Amino acid sequence: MSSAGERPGATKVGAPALRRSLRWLVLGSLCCGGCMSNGTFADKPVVWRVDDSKDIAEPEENEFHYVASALDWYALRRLTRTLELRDREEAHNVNALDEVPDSSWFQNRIGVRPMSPEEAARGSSSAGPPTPPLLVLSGKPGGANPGFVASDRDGRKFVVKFDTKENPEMQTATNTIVNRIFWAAGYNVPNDTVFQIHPEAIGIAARANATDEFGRKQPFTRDDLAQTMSGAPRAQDGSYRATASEFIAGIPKGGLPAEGTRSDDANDAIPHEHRRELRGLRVFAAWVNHTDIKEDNTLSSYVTENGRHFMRHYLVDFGEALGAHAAEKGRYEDGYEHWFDWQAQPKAAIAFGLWAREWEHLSETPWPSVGAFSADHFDPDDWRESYPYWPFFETDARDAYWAAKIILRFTRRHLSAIVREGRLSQPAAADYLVDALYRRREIIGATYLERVSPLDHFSIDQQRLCAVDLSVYHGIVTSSLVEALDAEDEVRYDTLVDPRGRVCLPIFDDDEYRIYRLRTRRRAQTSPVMQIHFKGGDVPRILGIVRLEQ
Amino acid sequence: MLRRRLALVAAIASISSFAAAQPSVPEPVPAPEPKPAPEPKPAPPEPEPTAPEPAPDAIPVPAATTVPETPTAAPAEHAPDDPLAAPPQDYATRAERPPSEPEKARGWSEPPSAEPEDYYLLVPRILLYPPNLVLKLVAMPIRGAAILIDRYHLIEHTKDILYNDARTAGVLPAFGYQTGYGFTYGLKAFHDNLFGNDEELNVAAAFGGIFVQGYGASFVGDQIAHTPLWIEARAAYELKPALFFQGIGNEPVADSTPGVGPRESDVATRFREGRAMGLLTLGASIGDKGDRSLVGVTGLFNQREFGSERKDFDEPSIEDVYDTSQIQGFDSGTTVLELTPTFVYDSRNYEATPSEGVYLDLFGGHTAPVTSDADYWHYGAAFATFIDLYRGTRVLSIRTTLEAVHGNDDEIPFSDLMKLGGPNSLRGYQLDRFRDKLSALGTLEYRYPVHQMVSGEVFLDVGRVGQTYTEVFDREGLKDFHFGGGLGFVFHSDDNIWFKAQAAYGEELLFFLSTDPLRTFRRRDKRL
Repeated sequence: MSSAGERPGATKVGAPALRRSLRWLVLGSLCCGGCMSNGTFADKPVVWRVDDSKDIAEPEENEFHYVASALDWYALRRLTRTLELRDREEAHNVNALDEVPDSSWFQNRIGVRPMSPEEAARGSSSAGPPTPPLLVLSGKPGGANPGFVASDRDGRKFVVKFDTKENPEMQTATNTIVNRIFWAAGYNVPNDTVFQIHPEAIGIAARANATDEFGRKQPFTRDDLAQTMSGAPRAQDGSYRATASEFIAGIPKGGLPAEGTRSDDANDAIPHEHRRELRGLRVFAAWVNHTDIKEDNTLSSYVTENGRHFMRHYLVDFGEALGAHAAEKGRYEDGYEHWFDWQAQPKAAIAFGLWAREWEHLSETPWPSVGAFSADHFDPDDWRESYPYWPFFETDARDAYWAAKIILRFTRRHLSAIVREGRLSQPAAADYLVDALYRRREIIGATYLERVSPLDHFSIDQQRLCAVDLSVYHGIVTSSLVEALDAEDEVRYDTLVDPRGRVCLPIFDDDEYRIYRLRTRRRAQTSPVMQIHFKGGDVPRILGIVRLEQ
Repeated sequence: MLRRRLALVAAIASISSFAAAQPSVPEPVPAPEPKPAPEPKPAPPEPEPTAPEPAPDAIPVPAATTVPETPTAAPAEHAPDDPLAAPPQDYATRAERPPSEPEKARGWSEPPSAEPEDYYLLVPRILLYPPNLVLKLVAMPIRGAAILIDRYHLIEHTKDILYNDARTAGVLPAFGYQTGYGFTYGLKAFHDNLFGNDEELNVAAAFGGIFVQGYGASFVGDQIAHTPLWIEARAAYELKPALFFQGIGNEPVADSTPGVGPRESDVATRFREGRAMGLLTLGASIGDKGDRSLVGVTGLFNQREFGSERKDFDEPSIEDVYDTSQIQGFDSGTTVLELTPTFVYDSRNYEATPSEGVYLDLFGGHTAPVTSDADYWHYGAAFATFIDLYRGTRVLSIRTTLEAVHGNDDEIPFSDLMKLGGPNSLRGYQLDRFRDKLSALGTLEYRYPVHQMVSGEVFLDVGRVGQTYTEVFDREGLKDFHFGGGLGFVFHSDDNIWFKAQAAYGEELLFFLSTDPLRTFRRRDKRL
């Protein structure tokens, strides 16, 4: 138990909305009635790193309780959250440019720098798959797919999982492909690879054990190995295809609670449901249809780096994305409805079948290695994870925009290289996946870039404030007019964006704190306004931006 | 805590507002005139979708102010003139500065003021705080119990106790509810695959509701041990304390004079029945699942004894209304053995939730005179077809049954007359509401998807009984058909119905709940 008497690893749910209301009431009453200030940014460099790796004592392992979680997802916590009358808050951990700083949760990669397709395909590690022979150490703890934990010739440890005969190559390819995508986006992920292994190259350690369904440890025998591999398809040369997920460095401490913070981790200061990288994860998950988002598909690891001990946070287990979850469970509504959905299913009950839900139009692909994954009937706003995940309930337009612009950095070449890592034996299946991912990328861009101002990548150049209209840059719109507004929302200046999306506006050359209010216009439609706070003078610099929602 | 908050609110409400302070935030200023650039041009016309006007001055490529941290080969999509090639401001130099506290990353010098909703929602949030707190307190032990279930693998242990390792056999609780009878509870032991070809063995006990006690055993296999042998064997012993009896015939009769004959009144009464039943079907199975025919002979033995009701309901006991001596077989009890050849054809794609195919059940036979108190012919036909209205998820099923006994009235026990009413036939009417020598029933049922494991259904039953075909099917007879309809939910997999809940209205509103999977037509033992 911690010194505070709390259960170790207990989650502190963030300040209730009520306390926030009262706090703002106090502050607001000291201003003129109804006056609202824009806020000002400090004149400091933009924060791109946060210090969440301070030395901490080893935390307890966070247990995941499926039945309790299910009760919360579908009833208890759902109801209490509703009664809290939550309003939309801005993510708590963004920097002055509304970006996510590097941390133990997220490392900016393709979103801030060019990345070659080869680098994206290589992923988190160039160490590659395990080197046979493998020595089984234990059965695979938890999860629906058969597998085991093994070490290879070099002593590296892996979780090894197999496909099913009904859908050969599906889980192994999906896991690797989505692993690469999330890594390139910036998330911490393990080193996952596809490899082939002959049964003769698998040995069993003398003390190998497996945990049965009652939590008891039993010896892991040759029969258990045969049982594990009996449901997997076998290649003509007698080998088995599997995915190997290399053990993450450090001591595993369980999954990430979906809301609140860990009481035994002083570095965990931001309520999880208000972390931009978890809220924005909804859009990434929608892109690849990773519906199996829940606490036990995340992992916190207690690591030691540079003499400090702290937690690093990972996403793991992607084998049920890209339609694989639907294929395994026979559930086409996967990605469209929660497993139990308070909106869709009661509506279906009283519609007497007269309402054809979007997922009913889906059809299987001709390849068993690819599930019912398509860009047809895809609306990222309507996408739903299978098990309600609280950060997704907080996702706002700015979170979605942030994720969408990272997704748009994936080109077709990136996706082709990444899908190649899945080693699908049928080129047509691989081409189909690349095409579906690319089309879904475009849909996401068109949906979310225009929900806030798409002006981004600000800089000051030769006494001009320059930006890029990402919608023009990515071809979502062909032209754009940028308008600068005064306090009464009157247009005081406008200029066209060039064909590559670049636009520059003149600025003062003094060192005064200035705020530009900008919006983009496409014919009669305008984007929401955004504020650019900056200073000119000898060292011109952007101080911060504020994106407003529609 | 709440009192302190309310006091704070009261104090704040009494503070008079200050004069508007000068905003410390620079207000947005209009864009200045560019100098020495020319006057800004008026806003150009709205951009055309093609060939936009060029900017007044060429915009130079922003000079790269940072060097990529990790040298990588610039891909073709990120050529040097790519506006996104350079990293964002200050990103490349981030290692030169100490990291920030996570909460301060946003870099506010002065954060923006409150959002309006934080004011508007204050009062509703205060009002909802107490019930929310109560809900959280109530949820705590529930959540705690759920954690114990997970931690000690109670679900797995329960399954291990209830089922065998292969999950083909087990003992399960069963419960049901039926308006007019109340709750039934019991146990069912089963084996779903006794000889390796889906042969089912069931042993069940039920109490309460329609029963005082009821025991049954059955063994069913369409192709025993992968042979063409078709066997169906059932045995039951039931004590039912208060079954409905509402006269014989189709038409309501007003007379409630005590001691009337069964065709002279339809007053609802109750009676007791004790029954021992045995059924054996032997035959042959032809074809595979989805296109299977069954041909055989069925022997059905029933021994019944009757008496006055033994459980208190609102309805009077039978002898208080009817002259039981006129109810064939009531006073003496009955012993009947029927022998009927049987033919079944089944082309449904799934047994529990079919979306296509037909089901046909034909039988016809006679009582065995040596061992029976009765002497009559008994025959029937049941037909169902399933029409896929939309992708196998919306299914319309149309079912008709015709069943009759033929013989002298004094040689047909009332318990062997055809019956309509109850959860299996003519829903919306009490069990066995109508009795006579001939029954005709039609059902329209529409099933639609709600959840992967739940379907909704809407149904309409129409039927009547009578003494002759003319009575039932002539113009006047057709006017006297009874209608019952309703809706319900079925909890199921493709091959099993786990639970059914229905509400139906015909003569009154009735509710049925059952965990006992209903087998569409192969329940003649229940009806007879």
